[in-house]
Amino acid sequence: MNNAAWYSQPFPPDGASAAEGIRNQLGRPELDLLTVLVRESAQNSWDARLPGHTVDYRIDYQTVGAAHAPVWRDELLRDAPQTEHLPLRASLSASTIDILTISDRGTSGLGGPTRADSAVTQDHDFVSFVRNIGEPRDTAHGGGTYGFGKGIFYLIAKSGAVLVHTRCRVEGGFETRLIGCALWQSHVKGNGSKATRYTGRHWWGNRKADVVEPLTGPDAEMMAYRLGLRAFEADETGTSIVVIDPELGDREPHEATDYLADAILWNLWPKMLSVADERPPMTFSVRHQGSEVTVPDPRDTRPIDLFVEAYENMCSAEKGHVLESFNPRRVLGRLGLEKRPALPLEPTPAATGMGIEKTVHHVCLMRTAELVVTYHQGPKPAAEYLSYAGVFRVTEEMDATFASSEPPTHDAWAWQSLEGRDKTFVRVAFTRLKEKLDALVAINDKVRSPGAEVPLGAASREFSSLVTGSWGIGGGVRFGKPKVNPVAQNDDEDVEWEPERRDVFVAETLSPGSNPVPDTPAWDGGRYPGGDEVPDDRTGLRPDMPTQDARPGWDSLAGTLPAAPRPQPPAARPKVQYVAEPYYEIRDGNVVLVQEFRLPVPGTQQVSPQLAILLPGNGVREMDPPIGAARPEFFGWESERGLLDRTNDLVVSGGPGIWRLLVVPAPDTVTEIGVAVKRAEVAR
Amino acid sequence: MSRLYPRLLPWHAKALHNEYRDLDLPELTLRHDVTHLSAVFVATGGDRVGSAELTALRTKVVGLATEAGYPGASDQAARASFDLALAEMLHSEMGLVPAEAASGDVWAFLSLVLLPDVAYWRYPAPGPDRVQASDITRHVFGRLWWRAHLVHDPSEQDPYAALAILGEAAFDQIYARRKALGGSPYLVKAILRVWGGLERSGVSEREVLRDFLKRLLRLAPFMCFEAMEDSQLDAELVRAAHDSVLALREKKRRELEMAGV
Repeated sequence: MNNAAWYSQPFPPDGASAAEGIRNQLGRPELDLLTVLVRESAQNSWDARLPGHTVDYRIDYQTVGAAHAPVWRDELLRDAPQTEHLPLRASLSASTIDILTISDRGTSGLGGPTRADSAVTQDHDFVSFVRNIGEPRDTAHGGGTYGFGKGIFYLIAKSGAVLVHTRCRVEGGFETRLIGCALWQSHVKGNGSKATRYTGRHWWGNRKADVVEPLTGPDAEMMAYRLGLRAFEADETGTSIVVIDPELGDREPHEATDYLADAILWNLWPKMLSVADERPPMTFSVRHQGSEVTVPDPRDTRPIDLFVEAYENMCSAEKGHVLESFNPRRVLGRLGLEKRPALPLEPTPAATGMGIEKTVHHVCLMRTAELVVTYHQGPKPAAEYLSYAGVFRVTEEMDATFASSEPPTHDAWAWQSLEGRDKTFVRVAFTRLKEKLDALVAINDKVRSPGAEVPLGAASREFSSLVTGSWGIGGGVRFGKPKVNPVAQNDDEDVEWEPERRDVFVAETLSPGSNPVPDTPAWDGGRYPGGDEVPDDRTGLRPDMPTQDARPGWDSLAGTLPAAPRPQPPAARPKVQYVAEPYYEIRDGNVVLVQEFRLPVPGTQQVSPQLAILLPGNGVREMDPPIGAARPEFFGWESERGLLDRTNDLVVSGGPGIWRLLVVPAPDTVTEIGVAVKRAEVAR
Repeated sequence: MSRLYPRLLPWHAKALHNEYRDLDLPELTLRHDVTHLSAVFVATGGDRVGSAELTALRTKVVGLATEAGYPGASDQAARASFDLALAEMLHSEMGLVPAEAASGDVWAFLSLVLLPDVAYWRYPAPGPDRVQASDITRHVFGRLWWRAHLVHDPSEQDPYAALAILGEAAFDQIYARRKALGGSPYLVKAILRVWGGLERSGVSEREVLRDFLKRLLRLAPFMCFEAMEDSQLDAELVRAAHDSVLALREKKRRELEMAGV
């Protein structure tokens, strides 16, 4: 008979990590804790997969039955720390004991030595999972990189304790191991000179000299049986982590298991796909009090099925795109895209957690492990009923680079934290992604004359009631140099501009998007230079545009990662960042168009509205309106606090706040709105 | 059947024009020819015209010019009616397809080799684009063919009746916006239809047309005129034209008021 008991780790003379530090290693993840649990544990399972086996991943939520509960209280409270040092006692003394078991089979189990000081370099899964913190993964192209993932088990345990039940290969056969681990907070026991400081880490097992060893072999199997844990088959390996008294947030247990099943779908769907009749790499199941909770099939579940198609497109030689960086030249990864009309769908809680809204316009980012890093939000399609999905997978050569950009929760690629070439690679990946997506959502990136193309106007009118109020793509805006077309000098062609992204808004009726480039108000009504019979009044642009220096700087919104504040050189040129597309509002009885923007560069600067009506051609603006016809009118600037300023050229200071430009649009026109900014002369 | 006409390449056209612009009409008549050493044909696309056909064409053009006073002086009205008759004749008899007619070199051959006398009579001391066809919309013959092409309607009893609706200057306004409006015969015909029935008393015709076209330009980015039914397109155009007339009348009324004050 064993006498497994709790043992608290005192601070060794040379120091150790305190429990709080370890608990905080995951940071404060933006994702929901249960989502992190699914992601991290499935990643551990994937990294521990055995060749030729399908990994069977399973989550059970259950209440310990009446037959087993006394065993839990007897065995797991032996020498347990006081409740103020570890809440385990409170959890086990409650009327029911709830446990959440995350288990995998078809994995290697936690093998290797059980003591951290055994100098074994290869197989040390047990030690790195149970004892050590922050040990790097040795799995080639594994999902994890930090070895912090296990922290999530402690974070969701209200008791602070988990049981680790594993079966692994050892020399000469298999071995079952069972150990309890707890992590709460450092504390002091005793008084005066007898006081001892403890790290807040506790282990439950067989105390042997200075270390707690797990129960092993028949002892472990017997204890697992008495506790009612799922046993291992004779030749089965794997790991079960039992979280005692799990924190489910404000969810009921059945809601939590539904959520877990949904989170598995959203975060692990690539692992559910079987390629060419082979078994899928992983199978997933969720149980609530013993009854199965359905994990949705990604191929039949909207909108994940769109991502599955994008994934298949990525894998196909014809439909997949290769994203490259050009300087230095390197292949970054493959991209698959899929676009289709789809009704908006109310997102599930797990989807909302991943940033998915009613319509899908996202790219699923993954490394070679094919675990979802995040859903990168792309530009919204012009129509509400159009969805697209993409899947981007990093090449093996680039895997390490992208891995190093991930935070401990592996849920973003933050190129801001990288240096040198690596930074370039990750950032360029986002730039290429944006280019592909912009091309995908662009219905018609220029206003073109219909010419002899197949006329679709009648059809578009038939459908127009379905798409009222839709407008072109928005978001990023960049300034380009105006291109003076050589033909333009030749008195007969409209001046064209280099196409660049630009917000275009169509008042009242539908229209394709358009791509002119705004600039300082240098345009004026150009006169027809050469006509001897007809005084012409066509729209044109003066070729003598202001020089680069005189023009305000603009920036695009490329990349949507949480932007770290970029170091600004002392006299940075002011910039405008447009925030999303313009929208309608009513102010003082006027219907106004609102364009939100930011002025990210600090300092005093002057903003001016840039308003125009677009005419056919590539970004051609109206210079000479019809007599008495409506033109877009500046209405005001609105600060974040809602203060309206009617001054046309407003002097403000830059900062993170969102400004709004309010414009009264001209009906039945393509109205273009923009913001020009320049450094303001400081009044003395 | 599409006919191919000899083409005079720009370098030669320029040289000929430099030579001809100081000559008088009899000298030019002497220099006319049905071939030119450096004239070329495109390789494919139709049958090449022979010298007999070119001679016949010359005879017809000279005949029309003579009715308008050639080789003597002529007034504005005579030239306008010459243009209308010539437009109809060129478009109906030359057998050109638009692709061929879009080539300036074809027109340069006509004005500098086949008919230099008529060309320099119609535009005495012309700018280079009138005869070299660097700009077809201004070429002495080319612009007429295109004007006829844009307005002719084979289903009408007189397919070229609409030619008379707009004067040359007015037509050039449409041309000047050809990228957006003038490129579509369908729209141009509709403009002429609406224009013919527009009540525009009291305001300047030219100003109305200018304003009218500006309003159409505004609509063009999101309206596909060519896909609209005649009746719908007409209604849209009538609305725009009517707005223009009203706006101009209002402007005129205000100007009168101001003058009164």
